[in-house]
Amino acid sequence: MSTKRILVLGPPKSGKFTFLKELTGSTPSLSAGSEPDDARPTHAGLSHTLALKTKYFETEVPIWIDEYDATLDDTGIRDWASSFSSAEAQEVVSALGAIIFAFRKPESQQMYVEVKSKVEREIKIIHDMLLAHYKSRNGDSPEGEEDDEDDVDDLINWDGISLAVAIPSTNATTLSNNDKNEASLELDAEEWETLLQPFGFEFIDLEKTGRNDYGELLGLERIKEALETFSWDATDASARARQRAIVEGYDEYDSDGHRPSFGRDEEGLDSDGFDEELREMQLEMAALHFAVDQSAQQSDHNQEQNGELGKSGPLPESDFEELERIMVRMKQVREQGDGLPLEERKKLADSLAEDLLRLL
Amino acid sequence: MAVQYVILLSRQGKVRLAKWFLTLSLKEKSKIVKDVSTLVLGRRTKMCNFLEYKESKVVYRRYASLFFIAGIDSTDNELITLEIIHRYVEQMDRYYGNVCELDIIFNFQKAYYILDELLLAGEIQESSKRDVLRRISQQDALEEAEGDEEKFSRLMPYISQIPGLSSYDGSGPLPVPGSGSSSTSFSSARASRVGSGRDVYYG
Repeated sequence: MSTKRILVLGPPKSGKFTFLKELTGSTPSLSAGSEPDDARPTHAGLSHTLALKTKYFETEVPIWIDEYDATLDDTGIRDWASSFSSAEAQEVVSALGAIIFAFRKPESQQMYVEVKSKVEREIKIIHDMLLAHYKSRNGDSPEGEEDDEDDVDDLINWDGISLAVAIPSTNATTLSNNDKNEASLELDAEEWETLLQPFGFEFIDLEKTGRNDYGELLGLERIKEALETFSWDATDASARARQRAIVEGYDEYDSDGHRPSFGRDEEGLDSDGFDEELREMQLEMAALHFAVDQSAQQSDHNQEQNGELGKSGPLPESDFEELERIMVRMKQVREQGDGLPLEERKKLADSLAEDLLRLL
Repeated sequence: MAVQYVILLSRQGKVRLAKWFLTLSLKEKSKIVKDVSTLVLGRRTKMCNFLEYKESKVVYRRYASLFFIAGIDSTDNELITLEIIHRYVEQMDRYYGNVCELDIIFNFQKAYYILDELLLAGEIQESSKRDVLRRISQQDALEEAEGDEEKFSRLMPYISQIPGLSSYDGSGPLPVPGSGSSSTSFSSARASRVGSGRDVYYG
């Protein structure tokens, strides 16, 4: 399960459920706590899940659904934005990996202008809320040099996905309906893209399919593609570090954005995992060498051991580990005993021999 | 004719690759990336592929939800730069097979290697499509063989010190007694590859 979430936001009856059904294959379940006499229970606060699968990764992303009041002026969305700008909501906004704003296509030419300007205002409010959130967060960050960059009015500091999805108007029965849907107007993609781009939102027409002139996917496929490009399982710190590495122009970096060749000698060219194995093996070899030395010099101490050390064949794995432990202890005792008179050394050696007997 | 930088930008405004052919601090790089991204993303579809930014020119082209951007001197030829960008896209498409944004995110090293075969110090250094792809595949094969060979040769001194294995010379599977087939298959697979690896290395 991914740590980040998708937020699907829109006024009531904007087609969020229709959209989610197409995207995830199922509709979110309505909350159990809705009043029985509600004409329509609110969709705010519901959750759902999206399964993403690509050739590089597979994950499940939780979806939050939220709604704001539909008002003629913008108080509905402004109230929503201010609630999301509160201190309590900081965590919520930080947990977002994608924001999908859903709106209905206008049904007639008269409504077109109104819908267009309303969407623009609403997107701007959402954009301002995100900007304020990420500006205040970056201000707290220890990397002081990044503060200057935040003066530019854009959302490049937020690495999440922002989409504005146009859903066919309610007079259309289903998306898969083959009858020509005359009810919703054709939206000019270029016009809407240019309208919403300054706020960092990509315009998507849910009714479109296939590819455009640039070979780009359209509609639902594009939504899925855009969501797949986000690193759902990365932490904020590693995503930031990685982004930094990309801008610097590193052609090699690990998932934490660190250049592998810095601070390592030239021989460290193979993977970290293998170095670990090598080190372990070196330890075991050293222990074995030590054991051979010990048996040659201090045969008094090692009388109990002789049976083990005298073996000429290769030793089984489990004995190796035990032996290693014993060797390390012996080495310690030897070092300790170096400065002590003979009596003390004998005492130490005796206690070690007892421990060894117990181990064996 | 010198390209100053190449940037790959997604439609969402995320930088997916940046290659710099001049020395700049991280702050300067970030500023250029931000400014150029805003300029390019704000372009309408029918607008010209060339624009001016400070004392230089910016050439960009949109391919499958990615913007390929190159910054050049004001004295450089924009049309040739557009061709260079197109050549890079073609090479990537051939190598990755219908390259998409995900490929560049998860296999970014190859995107850099291809660019490095194409441009050196901002100048085109190989104009043959076939040669560039051939070199990248050779590089792939070399990396694979070298990786195997290196791992095995690092293990060799230790293997020969294990009692009972001092006579082991690297050919055939390790005579490890009884312990699972995993170690045997690892070593035998590597042992059989060492020979072929050496051929590629010295051939």
